[in-house]
Amino acid sequence: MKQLTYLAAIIITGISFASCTKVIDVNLDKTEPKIVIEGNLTDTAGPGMVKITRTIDIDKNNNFPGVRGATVIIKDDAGNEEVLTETEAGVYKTMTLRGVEGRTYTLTVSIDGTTYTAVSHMPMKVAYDSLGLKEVRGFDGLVPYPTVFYRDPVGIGNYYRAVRYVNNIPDGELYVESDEFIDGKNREAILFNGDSEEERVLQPGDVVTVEMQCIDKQMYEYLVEREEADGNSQAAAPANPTSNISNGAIGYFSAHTSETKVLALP
Amino acid sequence: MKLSVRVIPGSTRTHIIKLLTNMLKFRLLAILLIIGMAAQAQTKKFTVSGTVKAKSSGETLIGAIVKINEVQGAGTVSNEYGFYSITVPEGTYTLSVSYLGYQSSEYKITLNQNTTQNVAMADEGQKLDEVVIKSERDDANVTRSEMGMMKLDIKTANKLPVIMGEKDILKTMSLMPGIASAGDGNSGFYVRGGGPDQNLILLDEAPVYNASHLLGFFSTFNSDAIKDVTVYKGSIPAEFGGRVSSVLDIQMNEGNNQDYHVSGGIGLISSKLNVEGPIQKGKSSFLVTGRRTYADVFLGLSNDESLKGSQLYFYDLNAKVNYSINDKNRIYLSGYFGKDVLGFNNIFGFDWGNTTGTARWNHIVNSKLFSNTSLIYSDYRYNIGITNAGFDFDIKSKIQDWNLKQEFTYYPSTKHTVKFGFNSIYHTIEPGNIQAKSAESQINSTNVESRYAWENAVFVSDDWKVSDKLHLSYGLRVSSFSLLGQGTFYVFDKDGNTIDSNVYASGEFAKTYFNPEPRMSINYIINPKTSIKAGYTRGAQYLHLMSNSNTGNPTDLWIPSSEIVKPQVVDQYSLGFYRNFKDNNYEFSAEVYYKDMQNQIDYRNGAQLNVNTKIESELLFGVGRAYGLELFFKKKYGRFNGWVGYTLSRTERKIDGINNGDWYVSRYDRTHDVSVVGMYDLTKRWTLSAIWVYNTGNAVTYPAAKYELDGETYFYYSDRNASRMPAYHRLDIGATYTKITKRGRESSWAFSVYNAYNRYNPFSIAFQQNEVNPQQTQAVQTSLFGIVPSITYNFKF
Repeated sequence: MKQLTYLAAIIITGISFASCTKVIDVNLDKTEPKIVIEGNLTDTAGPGMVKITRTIDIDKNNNFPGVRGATVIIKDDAGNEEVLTETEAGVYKTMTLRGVEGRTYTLTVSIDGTTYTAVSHMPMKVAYDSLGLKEVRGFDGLVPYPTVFYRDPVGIGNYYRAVRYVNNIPDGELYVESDEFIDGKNREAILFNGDSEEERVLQPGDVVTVEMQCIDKQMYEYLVEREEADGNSQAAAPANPTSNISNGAIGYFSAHTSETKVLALP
Repeated sequence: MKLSVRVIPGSTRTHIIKLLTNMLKFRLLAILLIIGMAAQAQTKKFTVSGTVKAKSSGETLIGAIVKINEVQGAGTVSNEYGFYSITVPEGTYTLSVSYLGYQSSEYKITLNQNTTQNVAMADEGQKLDEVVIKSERDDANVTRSEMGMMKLDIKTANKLPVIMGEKDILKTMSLMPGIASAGDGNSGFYVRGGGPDQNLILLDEAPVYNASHLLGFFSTFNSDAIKDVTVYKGSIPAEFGGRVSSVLDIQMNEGNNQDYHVSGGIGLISSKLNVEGPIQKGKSSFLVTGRRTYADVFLGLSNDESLKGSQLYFYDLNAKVNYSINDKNRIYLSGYFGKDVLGFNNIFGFDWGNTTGTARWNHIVNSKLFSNTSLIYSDYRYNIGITNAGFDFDIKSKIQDWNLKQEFTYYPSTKHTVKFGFNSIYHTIEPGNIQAKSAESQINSTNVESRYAWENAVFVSDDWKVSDKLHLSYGLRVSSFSLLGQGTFYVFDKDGNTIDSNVYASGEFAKTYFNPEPRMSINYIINPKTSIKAGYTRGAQYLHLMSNSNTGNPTDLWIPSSEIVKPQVVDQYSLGFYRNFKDNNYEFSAEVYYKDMQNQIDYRNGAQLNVNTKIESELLFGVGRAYGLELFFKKKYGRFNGWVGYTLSRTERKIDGINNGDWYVSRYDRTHDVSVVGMYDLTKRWTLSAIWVYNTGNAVTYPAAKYELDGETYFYYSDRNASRMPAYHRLDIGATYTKITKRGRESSWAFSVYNAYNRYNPFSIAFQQNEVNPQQTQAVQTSLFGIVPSITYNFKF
């Protein structure tokens, strides 16, 4: 809707009076640093990984040092448990525990006497048929976009996330989908470019990698909420996304299935 | 999760009986009131009554001052249909009628029986030193009993500079204290801290659900054919209900029943045409007025292929016809059709618009009793169509009202004017539903249920001139609202999980609410130049607009009250001081108010308000309060005139689930709001005008910290709406050149410059990476308009 407002403003006021932007100074409140946890466990060979950092003031440079010396434990509902190993500052990895579809995982993080817990259920894997290209008419004519082909199983409750890399550089764009409106359908999910700086029109010779994940409902809602609070004050009042981690920690713990396909543009 | 299904029998009968009992109770009260007053009549009194019209056009005049010179206090004003009635003892009198812009009329009447005296007022010639500005009596500010009521003079409004030359009465209204414009690119307005959905906008008695064109840049009201605009922001008269913050009552012209006239205007982005004339001279007339933009014509000339196939336009069309059957009966038929169309090639189409239709019957029952019966239809609908790469679907939605209204005005004596009546509305709401265009479409059709409701009200009110110094206006409105089947209604827990559902068949009463809404105001006239007033109003609102963004979208959905969503109830207390100076040439008023709001709504994080069968689970409830001081100073006559308005106010909400349940500043808050308006008649043909506005920036939520996840930087927010955007201020200047030929043909050129000193007022603020130094975060402000000059040409013949 914001895009449409700008479009209307430009058309109405003529080319020379289009909307304008400028950088301004603002007074911002500060807050006590909070713990940030990024926890991922998949059903592939790669290790489960938990990254722990803290929040910093807005006026500081983007430096997020890892939190050392935390006790990080992941256990599943089939009796398996592992204390993760800190491989570098603030990064904790599994050595033996494997993610299995259908299981429920619990993460426990203890730092300086405070404990944070989160639970995530790894859904049953939905087959990712293929990765292709679809041409769509846009502002610049026919444009090719990477497209994920899959079939959603009948029954509401499936949530998907696609992560896109072009020439091994991640997009930073969020692609999530719930099957609320597409239940049971053969899906051709076109991964359009977003507003992110790294994206550009695909060129011949580009290598596109798309990872498809089946995530749980809490993670889906977390991602949607996080995307909405994008720092733009014209939309709904921004608020912190609902985290599935207890005790006021920011971030998420997600157990999801993962499958990656690669496509090279001719 | 346990679901129980209950079908409730017999409730229909119980509810109808309840409704009838309440209506009967109020008929009884009304009858007692009338009998009581009639009993007071000792000496033989007779009534003179009639209709006040303009001689040249036959248009009825609203608010003309009619009085009997020889009797102290024997005066009244003509009502919305030009009707007046005065009762005095038998005798011979002079009836005088005045209305600014017209020559005063006097009639000698001998009153020894009830007499009809219709009034035809002749136009006053243009005089430079007596510029006509108002449509109410000189000292109305001091003497009228209503508080917080403002009339907008259309002639004044037409002289003020506006963006792109598009006169917009909603933007002009926001130049009054207590009424704040929602901002650039937004035609909504906030009255005394209330939201934009709390304003009842009536066009010839029909409610208009979405009064904005082009996503909020312009309003749907074509000011060329408007006769009268009144805003009630304080004590709202008992005949109005359904919205808790204000009533914006817009009356259109009926059409000249003497001669044919064509008028219109050509502007930079839109043009309008107005045709009116008699069908049977003196007895019936018609009026057709239309407006359309042509911004999209330029799109067709573009080299860009994609812009060529695009559409962007809106239109308004008003059509009216009226017929005076005889002196005592007049019928009116009117319709309004408006639409916005946005389209991008054949991929994306979006259109929305209002349709209203009104049929009215004025009946002068006798010299003391005037009746108006209206049958009103109103709807607002939108359609979205998408045909793109396998995603083929439509979304359609509409809200539709059928409304029957009956109002009586009874003039038992010079001391009392009694109004009573009822209003019954049947609402149908079809929320947006996805309709897949084919089975191969990648999207499923949805089935969000429609909602049906029946809203009723009865009211009685009396305007009582207790004495020369004391004026009392009091009344009671009793409203009821019933949510009807057919439908499935859910019950949720605090976290929005479904815990129960009830199914009702068509016509069954699922939930009913009753609300008594007392209204009163007292005016104590200290001397003819000074008065103080106090008022109290309670209002109930049963329909709520789901709108999660600051700009308001055409897809915002109205939902009815239900078991979970309780009616909004607002109590407003106000106090005011009024003083006129220099022979009523200068007007000053100071008003303070306090509003207590119950059952206010806000939304959960990430709430999905569209295409949601369980939309009520996304809602959070709480209370609100608003208070403020409004100062207003106006110079009414003379070559130079204008006004200054200042509002100091605060509006807050306290919602379970937001901001830890603490009070937070509402997004409608404007601490300081200043409007300065000036008009100067330079010569007989040139008028200069200027507007300067200033308001505190919108309350917004800024981040307090940042963090990194998945390789991206995100922001952490603490208190809701604890920060402010930079202040908004703007100067508009305008000049109008008017030429009137001897044969009465008029043409004018209006030049205006919007935002004359080119201030980039903030529309939104976003936090982003610094382009030069990506390690740094910066705040970036976006503005919609810089300086915007425009020219408009208007003609009339």
